Amino acid sequence: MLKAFELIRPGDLAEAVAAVADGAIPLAGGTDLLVRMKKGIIAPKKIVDLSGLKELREIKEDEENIILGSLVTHGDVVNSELTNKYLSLLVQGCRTVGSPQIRNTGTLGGNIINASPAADSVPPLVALGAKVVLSSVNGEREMKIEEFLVGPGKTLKRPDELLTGIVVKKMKPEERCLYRKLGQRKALAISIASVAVKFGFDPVTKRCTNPAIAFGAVGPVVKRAVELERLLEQRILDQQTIKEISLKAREFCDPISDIRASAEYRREMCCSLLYEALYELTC
Amino acid sequence: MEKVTVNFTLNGERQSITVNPNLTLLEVIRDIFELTGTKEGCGHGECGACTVLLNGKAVNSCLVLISQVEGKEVTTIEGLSKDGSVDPLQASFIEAGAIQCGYCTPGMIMSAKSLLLENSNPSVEEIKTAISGNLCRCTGYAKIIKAIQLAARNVKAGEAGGEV
Repeated sequence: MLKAFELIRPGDLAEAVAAVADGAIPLAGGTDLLVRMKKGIIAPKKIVDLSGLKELREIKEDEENIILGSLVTHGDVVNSELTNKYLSLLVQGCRTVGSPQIRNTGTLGGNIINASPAADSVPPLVALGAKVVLSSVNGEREMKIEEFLVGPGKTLKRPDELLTGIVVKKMKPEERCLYRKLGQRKALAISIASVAVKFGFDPVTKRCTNPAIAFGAVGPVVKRAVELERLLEQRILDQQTIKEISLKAREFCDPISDIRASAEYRREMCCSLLYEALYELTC
Repeated sequence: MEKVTVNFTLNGERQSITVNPNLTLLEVIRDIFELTGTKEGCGHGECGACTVLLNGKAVNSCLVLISQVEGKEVTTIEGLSKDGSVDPLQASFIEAGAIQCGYCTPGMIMSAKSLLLENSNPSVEEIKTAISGNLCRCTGYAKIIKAIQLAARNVKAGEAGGEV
């Protein structure tokens, strides 16, 4: 059984933020928090259950952006018309998270706050230049997700802040994208390596514009591979070019060896994943 | 520890319980309502033995804190049979012999139920995805997949007025 704690059930967002300021640990989907509590990694004294806050489950749009509440589940992202229309890359990432049960419960906000280098929603969000919205009793601030994530399990969230939303620019119709993940099997597998790729593509000239690439699980944080992006910018993506650029991926990642794979293997897999993604998107 | 009152629907009946907040949905289902069809396997969301429906969607009840079901509908394996007759999925699991030790069966059926509620005509790939969070350590997956296909067909035949 879980260790005893005090449970706070906020009536609105202001109460939730106040509870966080008072030291309560936020409960979103619970798929990570409960596992960590069961394993004895953490033993919160106070938990604030966010599940009653409907506004955090909403997916909205404005002219430029899709705005996702932090309690939107991976399943919500997979099924939403808005995300399927404008954020296909994120949909692809969320579809590979855990299992149907985990996707129906686990949230985008939880996936981000855990700051696992292997989180499957994160490479798409980084490649899409997403921003996180942080709320506290003092107000709101926004930050690019790439700056927000600073290490395994570490973010720039202040102790009194709650992640309440994710703002992502809508993809353009001419942009192509792919999330590709290597895991031990297709479900419930933590990524060994993954890549999110997005770029503008003219099918006639095969020219690539504004590429964005982010690798998952091959460094302490998910970052844009700016050097590779520079190599791709304005290039005609024929097979030879794709191969040459993909092979350079090993130079731009910083993986570790762990129980899932060695650093050398991960480096090779970055090349393969990028090659497969570019091939599929252009041929 | 201050208790919490949670109102929810369990297998179609409204319930209001006042319990310690550190209980999972699985513990409440098994220990308070004594519905032991839902099993605990790993307790960490890896095996799917504890799968129930929350508002019609499959979830691992071992990873749901009881306060999270406030205002929601919970369906367990016991909630599938209606008026003394089993659900088409239960019937097809029996017909296809999709049972070995039986421990994963309730979870498998609940994941399949979640799928059929959304998609009455699933492909084999869609069935595999739907049960990808459920482990069968007897590895009887082939017959489980057949049973789910059979249930989908039987439901459709029933709706068309044919024999089920």
